[in-house]
Amino acid sequence: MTNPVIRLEFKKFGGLKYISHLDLQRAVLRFIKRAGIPIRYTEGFNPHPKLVFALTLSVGTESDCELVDIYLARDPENPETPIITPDTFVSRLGAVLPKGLEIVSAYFPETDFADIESSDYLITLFKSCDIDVAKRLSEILSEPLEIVKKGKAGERVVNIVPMVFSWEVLEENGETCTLRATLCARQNEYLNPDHFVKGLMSKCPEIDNWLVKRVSINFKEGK
Amino acid sequence: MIRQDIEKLLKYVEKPGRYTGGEEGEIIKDKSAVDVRVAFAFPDLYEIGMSNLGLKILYSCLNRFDGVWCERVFAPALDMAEKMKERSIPLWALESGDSVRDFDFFAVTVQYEGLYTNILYLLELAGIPFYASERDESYPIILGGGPCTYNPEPFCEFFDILSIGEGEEALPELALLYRDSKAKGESKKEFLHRVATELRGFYVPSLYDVEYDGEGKISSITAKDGAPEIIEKRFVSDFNTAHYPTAQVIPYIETVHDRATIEIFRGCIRGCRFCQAGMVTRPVRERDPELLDNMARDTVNACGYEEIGVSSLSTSDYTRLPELTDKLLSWTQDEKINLSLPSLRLDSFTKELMDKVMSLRKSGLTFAPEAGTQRLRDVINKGVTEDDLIRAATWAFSTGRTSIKLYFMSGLPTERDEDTVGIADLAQKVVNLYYASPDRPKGKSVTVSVSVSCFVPKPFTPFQFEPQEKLEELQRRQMLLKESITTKKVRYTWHEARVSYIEAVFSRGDRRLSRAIVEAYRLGQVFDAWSEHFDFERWLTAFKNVDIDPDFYAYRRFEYTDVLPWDMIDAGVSKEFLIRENKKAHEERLTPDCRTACAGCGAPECAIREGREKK
Repeated sequence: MTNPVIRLEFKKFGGLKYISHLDLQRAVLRFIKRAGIPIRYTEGFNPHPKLVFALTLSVGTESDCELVDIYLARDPENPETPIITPDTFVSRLGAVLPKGLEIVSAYFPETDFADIESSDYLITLFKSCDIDVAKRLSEILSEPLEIVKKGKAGERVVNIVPMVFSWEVLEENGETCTLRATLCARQNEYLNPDHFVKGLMSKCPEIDNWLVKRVSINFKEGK
Repeated sequence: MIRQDIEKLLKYVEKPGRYTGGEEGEIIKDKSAVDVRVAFAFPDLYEIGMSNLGLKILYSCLNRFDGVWCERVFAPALDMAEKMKERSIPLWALESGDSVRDFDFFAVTVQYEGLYTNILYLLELAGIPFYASERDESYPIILGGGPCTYNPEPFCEFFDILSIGEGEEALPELALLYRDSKAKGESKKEFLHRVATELRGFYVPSLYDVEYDGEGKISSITAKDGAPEIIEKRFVSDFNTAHYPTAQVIPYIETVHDRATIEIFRGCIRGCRFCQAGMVTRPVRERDPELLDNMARDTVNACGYEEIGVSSLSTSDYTRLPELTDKLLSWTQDEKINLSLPSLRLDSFTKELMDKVMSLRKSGLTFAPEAGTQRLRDVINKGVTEDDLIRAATWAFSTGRTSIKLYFMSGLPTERDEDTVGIADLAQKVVNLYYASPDRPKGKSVTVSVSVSCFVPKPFTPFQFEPQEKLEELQRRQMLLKESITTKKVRYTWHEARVSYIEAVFSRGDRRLSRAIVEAYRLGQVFDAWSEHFDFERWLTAFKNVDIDPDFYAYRRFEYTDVLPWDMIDAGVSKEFLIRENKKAHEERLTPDCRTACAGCGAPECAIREGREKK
């Protein structure tokens, strides 16, 4: 039996960009409940609602394209038919969402989050003095760039350059440099954009602040 | 609204979601259309303050008035405070982003002794002088409230006005009087005088003179300029009609209690002699089950909570609990909403009740026998027996539970070593019971958690006259209990006695102590309620620097005839009743609960005494 699932694509911005991924999950769930959308609960000792997010998003990061799969409750009469259409879903949820969470679209998904390949980010780097960041980035990323990753198994040093699939400077002036970067977002090789920037900053201390916005999530070719 | 200069700091601080405001349900008004602006502060972190029901109620009570805009303020964590100081950004209110300094009122709720230094922390961050006497007309009116104002003396000099008792009716009255006074162009002094003389339940500390005798004890408290000699605490007469906001601000970051809290009744029928809440919240006032059920449903619908917490001092003393739980369970189970019923008493424990309310989740069980022997439980008028505990534990083990938590207090008046050892014995009996239970879960071990706090004498309790046990003695008893526990099945934790000592100093302190708070803060003491920030030696240095002997407050027996620092306040229960109960404690005599027999506490408008309580 298939699980009726609706995939929600939404934007996260304003004050809400300052909440953690865990808090975002809780907030989304809360608004789905407020919207009266019947969701499915896991079986077991402590049933909890089934919501699956595509990727995590760091505190302070904006996004135009967050993806979450919402498992809908089954109608006992018609277990195969989704209990709600994407259109109704959008109108109900849209009515209760706060400023800072905005629906882009909702649909029945045909892709699997396990097939996510990469994610694109708009990154604004702030400079403490007028340097040519575009040139510096070419130099930095032409050789291994190691960062310390803290994980459950302790700290390890990772070269992040292979995980930077592409990058391009869109605009540079005396104070800022804006680039678009495609970073690896595979299940076990996720490059957090903040780590990417911190890695750059370790080689280029003239960068003293940054803003990140996720602009797309890309699935593997053919998926 | 996040101001740009504040937003710049957010990348550098922990949990920036504490500082953004903009949550769903926050109340935004047009500044130019309001004439009373209130910054309402909870002097602890956002995630603590946002769990507080009182804040939610009063926020809504004030904002119901068109001309009044109440906004929220929480204590920034130390990392944020440092950034604010670096960039000269003064404390702001979350809704408007405006500086607290520019409000009409800066209201601070004082919930526990551990927040006294945080009052100064907030004032300093706001750019407001500590003492009321140092503030001219340009500063906001500093208003205090909350449970600690039953003895506001240690911090009263920082405040212009203190609200005594429940604020639902009193605070709007204050805001409206302010509006009138402002329209008439009256000075702050004139306004404060009007508050003291025209409203009920407000204490204006500057209108009271306190004198001391040669021993340092208070010799007299004198009201000036027509201020009332006694300030009666305020309370809501009809709890059914008391305001409750079902639409609440929905925090995005995780808070301590992330649930709909439904207050089922106020007051307490029990009369435990150490318990301040049980005394000062009298008279007992219940809400009807239909109303509570609707409140719960509306709040869950409006806010999307997944849990409902029933709140009161003693859930099982609610006369219509079965009716209420039936109503709630009729829909919460289907909607996967967890129901939590804390504060169940051991002696009210029936299998039927527990089967019903505990069916949803097999959460752990917590009980508070408070003392290790029947004699001492009688002294404190706790009323529960060992049989009650055994009965409750038997049920718990029969349902497959393998852990029970027990709360006790150490250093209670008349306590002897046998009472301390009695705690270990009681815990051991519960362990033995587990292994004797035929239907216990096979192959699993049991954990009995024993948590012991230290007795702190509190104003408006029968034990207000009692000295605290000496620090060294409390520590000796903690070790004695540790040694008396011989099994690893009992997990023993105890509260830091030195924290309790400081609490005892302030609990029964007078207004001379304000200098010690200022000095401790100056030495760096803040967030006392957080164990990692509490520094005992620093407190002792502070007392020494301002020439105050803290033992004088913590270890002195207050005589029945003494003028008490809080004697200008009437919390509802009479001093005669408290003295009577204190004497009975020393005679090891019980006082029955209010429904069994009225003990004549003096609480006004008591439905039980007047035979008006619905059955």
